[in-house]
Amino acid sequence: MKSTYFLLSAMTASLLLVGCNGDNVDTGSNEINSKKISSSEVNVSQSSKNENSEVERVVTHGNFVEYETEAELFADAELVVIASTNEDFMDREHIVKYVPSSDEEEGLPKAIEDFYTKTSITVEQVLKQPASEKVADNKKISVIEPIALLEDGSKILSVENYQEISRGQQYIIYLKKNTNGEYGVINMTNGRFNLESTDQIVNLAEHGHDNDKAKHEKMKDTVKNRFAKEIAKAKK
Amino acid sequence: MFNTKKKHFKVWMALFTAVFFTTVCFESVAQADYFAGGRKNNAAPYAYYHSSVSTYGYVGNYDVARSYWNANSKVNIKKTTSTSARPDIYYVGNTSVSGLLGQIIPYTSTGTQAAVGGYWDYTTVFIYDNQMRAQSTFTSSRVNYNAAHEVGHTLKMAHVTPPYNSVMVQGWYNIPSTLTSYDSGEINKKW
Repeated sequence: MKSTYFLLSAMTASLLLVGCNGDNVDTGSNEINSKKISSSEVNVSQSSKNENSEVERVVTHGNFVEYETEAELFADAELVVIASTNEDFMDREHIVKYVPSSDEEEGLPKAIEDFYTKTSITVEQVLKQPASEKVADNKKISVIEPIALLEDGSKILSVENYQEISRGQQYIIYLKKNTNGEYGVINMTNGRFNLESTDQIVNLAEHGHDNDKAKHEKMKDTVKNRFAKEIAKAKK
Repeated sequence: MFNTKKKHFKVWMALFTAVFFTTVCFESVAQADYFAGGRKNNAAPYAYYHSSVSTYGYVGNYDVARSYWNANSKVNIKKTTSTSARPDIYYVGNTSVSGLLGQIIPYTSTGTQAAVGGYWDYTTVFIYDNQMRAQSTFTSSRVNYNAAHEVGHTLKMAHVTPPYNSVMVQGWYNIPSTLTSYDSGEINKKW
């Protein structure tokens, strides 16, 4: 009978742990203090030194061209690099565009048309680039990330749970030019892969993002396999 | 003594069963393809077309998108020319984010961005002209799909992972000829 109690206790405890962990937060060695404060808002303490401000993060939902495999992603990317940034997220150029004010005459509330961050990255190695353009190692380029801080500093808006590139860490980044000729990260979070062990992917089950972490890690493994030599070189 | 042990065993069994079902239920709710919470007018919101919709020439596409969801009897997205009742506002715009085809932002009654699982007073809906035209195949059917995807979000529909037949799958596809049974089923579950 004792062994039956033990078995039942263990199973109950396991189920409780699984249940409580269903919408959990990924934490690497450089753990972020992230907790869900509502179904859509995450209060994030960034890991970088000057990124420790706690700003409400709102995830918006949209439709984007999604690449399910690394092969598809690589094929469609125009520029793939190993790069890093030395800019804290809060210090980057945050752009929030509103519908032109002339339209407010219609009696409509102010509407955000577009938002993004321009992040300055230093290219350490080029893994793919267009034949028509040479991007040199150590060159600094500006890339668009689908995330931005509102001008009053009250909220961070993130498209589809995108996680920004962290300062001082190496990434493999898949980029494509937008219609204005600017390079931007494609495939949301699954278009930038942290080569350190501290990626900050947060699962948000109630957003339909309940398997973001697993999906990202799977694609990251493929990326690391494809570029094993280049990554080893970058680590030196 | 034997009766006491039997009682304890029953208690443990009851506890285990309760936890088991709670866990199963929790997982199924978390994985549902719709957002939590309510919204103003539930599945019958008003839709106001901003002037950008006609300027860019997408009135018909948003009409098709509304009709797609209105095929479920629980849904009735009504077009309005009045802004007084704070309808959802449909726009056409441009974005600098490569590959982003459309987006919605929900708002509270005070005009601040709302939690996706919270109560929505209204939403702004954008489809992005520059990104749609940048795709290799630009057709009305694909624009309809994109518009239906965004309008689906206004009904609290979340993304769907293939192989389900749904306009809530991410991407640039042709719109199904009629409301799919999967999408209709998710509406029935939500509303």
